[in-house]
Amino acid sequence: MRGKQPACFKDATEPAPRALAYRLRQASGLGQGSGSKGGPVELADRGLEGSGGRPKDRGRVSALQLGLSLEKLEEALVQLKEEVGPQGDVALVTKDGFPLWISTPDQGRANRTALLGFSLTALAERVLEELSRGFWEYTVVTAAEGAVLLLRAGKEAVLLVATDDPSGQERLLEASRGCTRALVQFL
Amino acid sequence: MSTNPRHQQLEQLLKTFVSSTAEVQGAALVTTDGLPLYTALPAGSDENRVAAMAAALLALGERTLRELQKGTMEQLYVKGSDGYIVVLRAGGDAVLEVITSNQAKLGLVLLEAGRCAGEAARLL
Repeated sequence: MRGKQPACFKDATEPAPRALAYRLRQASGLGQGSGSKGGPVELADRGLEGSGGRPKDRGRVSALQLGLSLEKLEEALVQLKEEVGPQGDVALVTKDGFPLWISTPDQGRANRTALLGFSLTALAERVLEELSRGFWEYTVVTAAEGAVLLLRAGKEAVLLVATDDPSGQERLLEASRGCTRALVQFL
Repeated sequence: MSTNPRHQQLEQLLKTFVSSTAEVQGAALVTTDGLPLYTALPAGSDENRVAAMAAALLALGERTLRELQKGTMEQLYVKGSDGYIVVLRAGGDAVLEVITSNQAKLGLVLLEAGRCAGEAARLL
């Protein structure tokens, strides 16, 4: 079982990462201990707790502000998922490889997807550094039956998008960039 | 320089690709194990390290696609603030890595890199 959850959001000020995790879990229906098989959208707090998000580091955010930001965050991700289609994957993962928000047709691969996204990003950053190509912006992997995009979403997170339509990658890259701009405001 | 005509052809192929494609600043043909075969890299680059990283990028890209069931990898490119790095398979045993500036026309680079990789695969 995860850490103690805040009882109420109306008048309490909660440490941002813990509260975010709680809200995301509630929104996904995982808050009642249903585990990762609850629905098509898995939301987890592991990444937030594991990314150094202690109250001292992040400060405190009012519940109202947090609620509004979370709605926008989810809205942006859900909108992107609609753009990608039911057979696509959208994952927001921390730079440590922990899932923050994952929507995938196969829930069993959620953690592996997050880890692969993290590994590919870490390696891409290292290669860019070695070849003096500046800081990492995005990575695209194209295949016969689709494409995978990885984009920076703020300093702490990476957005992974996988599509079944290899020809639509430019359009999807633009949509994903729009989504990361929305995410950056929150992350 | 190698006296083997096939080796000379491969070396020439890589040099021609780098010099004739606009905004391409370097390229490396490496084995899938991460060892350099032929390189034409910008000054100051460590070819052994670059080769290992290219092979690792290819392997990880392929692993990600397999995990997400997207089929065979065609190409992988990384956008940095100062340029692109393109990685693609050149036959069963080699990887072509291309380094470009920020002003590169990616479509053109991918097209030419695909041709170069195909030719390298044939020679290998």
